[in-house]
Amino acid sequence: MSGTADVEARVRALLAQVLDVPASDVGPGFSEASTATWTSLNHLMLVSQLESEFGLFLSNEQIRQLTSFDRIVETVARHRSGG
Amino acid sequence: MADGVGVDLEDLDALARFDGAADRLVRRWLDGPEQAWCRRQADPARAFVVVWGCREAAFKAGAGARSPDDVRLRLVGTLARGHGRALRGGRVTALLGWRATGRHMIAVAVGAAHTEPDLVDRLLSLAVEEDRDADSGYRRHRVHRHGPGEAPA
Repeated sequence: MSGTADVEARVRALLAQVLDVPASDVGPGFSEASTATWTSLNHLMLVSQLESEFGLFLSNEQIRQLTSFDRIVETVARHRSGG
Repeated sequence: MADGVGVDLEDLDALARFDGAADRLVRRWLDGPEQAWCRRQADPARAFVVVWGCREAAFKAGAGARSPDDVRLRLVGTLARGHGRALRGGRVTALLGWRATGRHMIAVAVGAAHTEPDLVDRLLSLAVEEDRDADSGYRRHRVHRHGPGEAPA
């Protein structure tokens, strides 16, 4: 599995668990705007799980931008490549 | 000075399905006095939900923050009910209160420009009544219109 595919798979599993949705629903285009369970409390939980899963510490500005599957994957991939 | 009103409702058991998450969330998102308040409560997961609901209400009231995670609170009370202040730069930006109503917690905050006595308590009573009506399946649609300096009807 490529690095990006690995990140996508782990982010998909994490979003499904935290937001209590089927993993098959999570993918490109999946976003806060279209997901009723993406509440502010679940967003905190999501950030906490992402930081734990990938060994990151996200800034407030980055946290505010984590509003979709695509943005999360992009942010995590950038961190992992040292960007 | 903030003159808004903010209301928030949270499911008290929203974090129940995440084992051990409460301690991590408390350390990650709350400041020292907020963490200390949570540690004094019997249930850390519910305590975090109460603090977060109060932060949301204070943010909605215009507590001078860019998001709820920029709000800092000083709280007095228990998981069942209490009151507190929202701070920014050492200044009080909003007054707030909360009550637990079975499975929910409801928080109400008013910007510090409001000076009416007991306004938070009166708004909380209205919000709790609405939540009970909704829980019992009897939804009433009421609009409360009031501006700064006016008491709600």
